[in-house]
Amino acid sequence: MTEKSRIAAGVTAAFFILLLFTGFIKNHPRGYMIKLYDHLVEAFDSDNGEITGVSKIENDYAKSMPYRSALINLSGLITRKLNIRDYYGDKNIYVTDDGYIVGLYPETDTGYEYNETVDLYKFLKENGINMIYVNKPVKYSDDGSVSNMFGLETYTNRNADKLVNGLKNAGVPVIDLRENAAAEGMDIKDLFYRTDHHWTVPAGLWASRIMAGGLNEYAGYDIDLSIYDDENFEFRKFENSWLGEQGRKLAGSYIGLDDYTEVKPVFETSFVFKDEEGKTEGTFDDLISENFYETEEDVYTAPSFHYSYALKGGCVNNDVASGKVLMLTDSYDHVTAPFISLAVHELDTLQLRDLDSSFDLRDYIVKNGYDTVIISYAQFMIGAHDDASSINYRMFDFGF
Amino acid sequence: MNFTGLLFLLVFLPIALVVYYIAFKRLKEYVLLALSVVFYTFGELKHIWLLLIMIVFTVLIGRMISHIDKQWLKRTLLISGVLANIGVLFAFKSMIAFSVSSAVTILPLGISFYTFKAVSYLADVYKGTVILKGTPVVHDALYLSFFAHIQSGPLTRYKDMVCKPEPKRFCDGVCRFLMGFSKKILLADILSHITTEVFATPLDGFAAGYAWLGSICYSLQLYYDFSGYSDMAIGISKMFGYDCMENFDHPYMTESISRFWRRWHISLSEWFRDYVYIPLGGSRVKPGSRVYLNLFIVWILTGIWHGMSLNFIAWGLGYFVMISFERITGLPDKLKSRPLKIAYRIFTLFFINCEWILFRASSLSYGAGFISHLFMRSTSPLVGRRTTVLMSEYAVFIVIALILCLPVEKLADRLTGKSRAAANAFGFVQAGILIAAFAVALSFVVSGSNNPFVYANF
Repeated sequence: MTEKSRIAAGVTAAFFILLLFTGFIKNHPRGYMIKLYDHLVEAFDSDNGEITGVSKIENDYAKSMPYRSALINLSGLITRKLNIRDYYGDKNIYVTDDGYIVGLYPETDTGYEYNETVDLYKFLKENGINMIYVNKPVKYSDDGSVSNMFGLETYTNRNADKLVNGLKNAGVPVIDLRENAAAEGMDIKDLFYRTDHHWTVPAGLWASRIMAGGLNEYAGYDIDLSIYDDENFEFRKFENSWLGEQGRKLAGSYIGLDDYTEVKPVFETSFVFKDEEGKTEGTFDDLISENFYETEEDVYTAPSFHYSYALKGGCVNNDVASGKVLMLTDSYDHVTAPFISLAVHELDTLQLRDLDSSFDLRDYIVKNGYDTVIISYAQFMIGAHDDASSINYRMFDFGF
Repeated sequence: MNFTGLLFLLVFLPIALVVYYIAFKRLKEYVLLALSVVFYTFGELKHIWLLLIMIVFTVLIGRMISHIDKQWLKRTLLISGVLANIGVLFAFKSMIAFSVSSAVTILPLGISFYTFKAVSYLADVYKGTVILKGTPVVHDALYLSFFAHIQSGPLTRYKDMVCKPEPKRFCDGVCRFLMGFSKKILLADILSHITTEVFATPLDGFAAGYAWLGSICYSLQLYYDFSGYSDMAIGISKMFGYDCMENFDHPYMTESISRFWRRWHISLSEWFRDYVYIPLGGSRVKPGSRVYLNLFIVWILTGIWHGMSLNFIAWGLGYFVMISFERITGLPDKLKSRPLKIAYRIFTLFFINCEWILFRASSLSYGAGFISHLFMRSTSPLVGRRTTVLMSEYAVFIVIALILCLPVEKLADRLTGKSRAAANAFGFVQAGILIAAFAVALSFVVSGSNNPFVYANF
């Protein structure tokens, strides 16, 4: 401020003090002071004296800030107005010309994934167990067009081509959902949310039908695929109702809200669920936590709608007589496993990233007497093993 | 805890201001010292003991020097105090440079700064430019640990640390803090999106345009990061009643490389001038050529202060060579024509840009390769495309960052002239811009996109 503008400086200072103390009073100061003190005591007691909790408290503080949604929307509005499409490129968030959030993936030789998968296939074959590898797409099928959009390389489809072709040549049954989408004339991005990397519930139903067809083709099942016809399901659409995980980073004001569609069978179902609490009886409806989307919370604090579908552990379908399948899954399968469970007697799911290296997958499969193993992976899992810090590092650890 | 964090802004700062201003006058410095310890503890609990030991040790030595009459004993105490402080700093820098211990991977918070302040305190007491008699010990401890300066300076002098709380200073402090906050979040952090990407790109993926964009953005990012931090430090000092020396004066408006260092990180340049260059004899040495040895020592030490790696040493050597060159040739003062003066300014900025490349590079070879790519044609069309994408997306921020390198405020002052009404109007426009920029910056902090200060690593 210049010497001549004291009044303006005074007004600015008054504004700042008002903001400082409003922010202080409104955001539970006592609670955060206690938290900071507790972390300090904890850190004093720890061996290395690191205060690991302060950044977490800082994050919690930001989450409970008054007017947080408005502030996030303000930052989103600015990045949108300036058309910055890779502001969160460091978090692998890029916005395409048509408003979809996509990720870019580096090149990998796929040797690790190939060896692990082919060796597991041979092992299972020796033990009389079927195996199907399912490649789930990302939002684009042409790496080149996305590379050109951002001036950055992405190899996800080329990586997937390399692995899928290798597996096919090795005789492994493969369902490449990109091919199915192309054959049906679908635009692949229509399977996905714009603001989240996951696919939609109707996409999960679509993929489940194809996987069930794969069970018929490669594992000798006799599933009546007409159970997956649209008339057997009730679709309930919630327009502009939620913001995906990446969308929350960018802000609703930048990317807009996503629609959500709940899909439930209209026919009666009867399951025994194998969850952490033991075995419980229920129906398909029990796989859906509707409170996830029937919520009053704003889009930044509401839970991710995608995770409202969850088949934790496994289930027995009382209406189907045969078939015991193990699915090696990723988070896309929150909306496929429930629908596949409609077609087989028993379905268990495992996410290898949740298990440590002491887990013996082969022993587990043999001991539990599965007749078929479905490896159902989004194609960006290919290459995750190149980065030891990736949460998906162990996804292809099949015990080779 | 740092100045752009919400816990600092909305928990620590309000409490600190209230506690400080309601405290009795004679207790205010004790309150500030306690707050400084709390601030440091939340920033770096692991090394709080080191800070406290160094403060106690330094103050003890300083007080002893001031009370003893025997010159040889004073000198011995000074040398022990300086060696102990510099020794600890050197030990930490060495441990990191040579990966001696996995437990020490980054420097203790602010060690480079509080060590240099300790040296200046001891030297000033020894020289008698600072008289400790009559000042409470807490003032010395506060000088070394004041939370506004502990992280990255400025390297203020003991004699300048005088508390004069008054509303005008407080209001100025707030404006300065808001300006620094906005510079850091809206310019430095946003430009870091470009620089982080460019400096992480392997050299075989480089092209001239991409390298130029990355290096210019880094020159701007570093300026707004560090000057933004300095603005906040100065602003906080003023809020608590302390004036604080300026650390930047539109450095990219410099006419020469020598003068750049009178505009950039001024407190560090002056520290080296007063406590290394002049004690070595400065420019009044005989033979005259010894001045270059003095300059060499100063610039090697400046490089090592930033980091004990080859790229920082090469960075310091680069400045030694060019400052010596300007001293020998008398450039740019000998240039009489305006075009030549402009050409020399452009060359100066180019040189500084190349120096920042070495400064930011992960290794000397990467830095050298980066500089060579400033003149290489692109072999990959994708790199060219990437350059265009980054330039178009971040154009607004780059242009604002470039404009604010100019002395805009001085220019506006000149335009408003002696008219009080015009000055008031400009003041309100400025206040509006500051408040709006702060609100936007706060929105970026809440959405989780702020980065740590670059100079907190030194």
